[in-house]
Amino acid sequence: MHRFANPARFGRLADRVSPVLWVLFGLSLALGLYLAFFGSPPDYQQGQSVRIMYVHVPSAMMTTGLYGFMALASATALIWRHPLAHMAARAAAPVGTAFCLITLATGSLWGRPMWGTWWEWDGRMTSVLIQLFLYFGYMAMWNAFSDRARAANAAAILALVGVGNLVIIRFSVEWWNTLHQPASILRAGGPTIDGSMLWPLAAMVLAASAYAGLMILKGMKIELKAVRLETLMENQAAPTTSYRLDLG
Amino acid sequence: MSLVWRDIAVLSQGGRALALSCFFLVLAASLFPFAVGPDTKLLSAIAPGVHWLLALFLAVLHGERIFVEDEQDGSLEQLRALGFAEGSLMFSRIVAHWVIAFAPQIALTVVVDIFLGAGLASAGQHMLSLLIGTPALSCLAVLAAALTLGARQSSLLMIVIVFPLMIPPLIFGVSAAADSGSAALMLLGASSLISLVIAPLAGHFALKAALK
Amino acid sequence: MQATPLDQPLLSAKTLRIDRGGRTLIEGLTFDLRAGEQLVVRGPNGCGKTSLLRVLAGVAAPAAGTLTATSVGYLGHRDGFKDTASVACALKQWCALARQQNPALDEVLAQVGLADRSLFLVRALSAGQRRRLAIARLLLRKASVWVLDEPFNALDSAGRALLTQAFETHCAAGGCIVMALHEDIAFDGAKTLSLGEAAA
Repeated sequence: MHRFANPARFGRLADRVSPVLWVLFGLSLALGLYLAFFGSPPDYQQGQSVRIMYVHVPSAMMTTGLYGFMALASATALIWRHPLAHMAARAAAPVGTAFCLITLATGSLWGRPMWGTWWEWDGRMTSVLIQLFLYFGYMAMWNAFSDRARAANAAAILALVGVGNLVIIRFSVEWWNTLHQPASILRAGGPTIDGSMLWPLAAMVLAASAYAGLMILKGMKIELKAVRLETLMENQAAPTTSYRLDLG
Repeated sequence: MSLVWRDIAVLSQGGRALALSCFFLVLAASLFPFAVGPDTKLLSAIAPGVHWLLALFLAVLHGERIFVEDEQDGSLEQLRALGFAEGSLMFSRIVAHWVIAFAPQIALTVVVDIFLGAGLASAGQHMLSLLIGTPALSCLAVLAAALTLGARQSSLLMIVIVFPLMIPPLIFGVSAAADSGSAALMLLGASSLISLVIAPLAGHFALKAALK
Repeated sequence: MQATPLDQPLLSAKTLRIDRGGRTLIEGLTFDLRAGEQLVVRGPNGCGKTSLLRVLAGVAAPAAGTLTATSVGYLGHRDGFKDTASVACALKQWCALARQQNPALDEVLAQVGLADRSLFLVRALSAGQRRRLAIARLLLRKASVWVLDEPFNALDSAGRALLTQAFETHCAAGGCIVMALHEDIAFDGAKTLSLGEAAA
């Protein structure tokens, strides 16, 4: 894994992977959008509004997936001290936040015609909202310290504590929700999805993943440049100390 | 043990911090009738939520300064030089935080319940839920304090990171306070136990980084 | 002070690396200190003296390498006394934390020249007197390794004399000392670690 620790090697790898991801992203997005609008039928219950799903579900998957990625990268950084892992985690955070916001917004838009309300304190929506707060906390942590190493460490610990908490939150919110109100009819059992809807959904998930990958690589490259700049400015001020030990 | 006594003595600031907890509770609890109207039926219905919201605020109120002063005046350095591990520094501060923030709250549960028109019978249930659940809040508050030690605008940052983490104990706590004999009390106890394991462990790494 | 065989190092540093703000200051530092030895760390501001001493005192972890030390008494820039405690209380509290039974408070306070101040609040002390109080704590601690960060700061000539006297007593009793000193303070008969100089 440390093979990619070298920034230059990482840069070359990123430059090679990025175009592939761009092509993958473009193709799957085009395919997904075409299928979503023209290649799939309206739902027999929900009508045309079901097409929101093709944005909503991939975003929700990315929201959780990227938080998981962040936690994994943070663990890698803390345990194996891989120098790029902190950067990968940091780069994933804004992307995850964006997907989280999209999930909430599209969920709200979808909920209005379906449930007759913009917001419902149901288990899933609530836990996505809490996840947004966790993302905010993580990013705030990164920006709160003047010392990069300290910020990286604190943010990584928070991400790990957060991911454990996320599991508990998911569970507790579901539990709390069923305690207070019966599960929504639409959710009960979860209608099995038809093949004609599965293909556009799969394409959109692929597009979202490719996009997330692209943005993480880009974020890491920016981060690497920022680190290089900081190192330059610091070393100019104080070069590494040499020393002489005189034991008499 | 001497460390726990020392932390309680220093952080309670000669009892002033304990008095702050008491005043905060009584004042904040008396605001609810103004906020939702003096309808005792409504007030007693929301009493479990009021207790637990006050607990969350108390946790943050005392959590902010749990390491700051000792870090600035060099006490934390001296404690480390005396050989106290980061984990035991965390643990003793969790105990001290609980004594300062939540021992007064548990003692004053009855007073808050009288303000809210909830019967004495429910006060026992409220007290039990606070007793079992507040250790989790202390753990999370002290962990957040360790993580944000030395940060810019650390009190704001602390609120941002700690409230989301406190949602599970809040959910279980309110349920346990509202309804006796539910699974909530067990879940609440479980979250306290889990927090007591996680917080010193994560705090170990956090303090280590803070003392670099 | 626990009895340690003379040949056994009291403080042993192996290939220490010291980082500050994500930057390496010192790398591969290896040395041993035995009973009676003194090591003076010198160097210009920002070369990592304090960072090094914090690691040697066990306050901070080294970025790499290992450190083994017997009991350590640390004197830093900040003393860890609360303004609102009395002098005697402040000392007692730290002695309790160090598990010192029945500390000879009066004796040590007299030794550092604060005998008549024991009931004063710490905030009523001058900077030099606070430093003397920190020295009193160090004497009560009975640690074998002293790690001192610019110990002569804020002390008057009488204070410096009593501290030098304390060094001699400590080393004669089988302790060892690491201290950071400014260039302008002469200190004879000690090993030196000069930071910020090319290796000879």
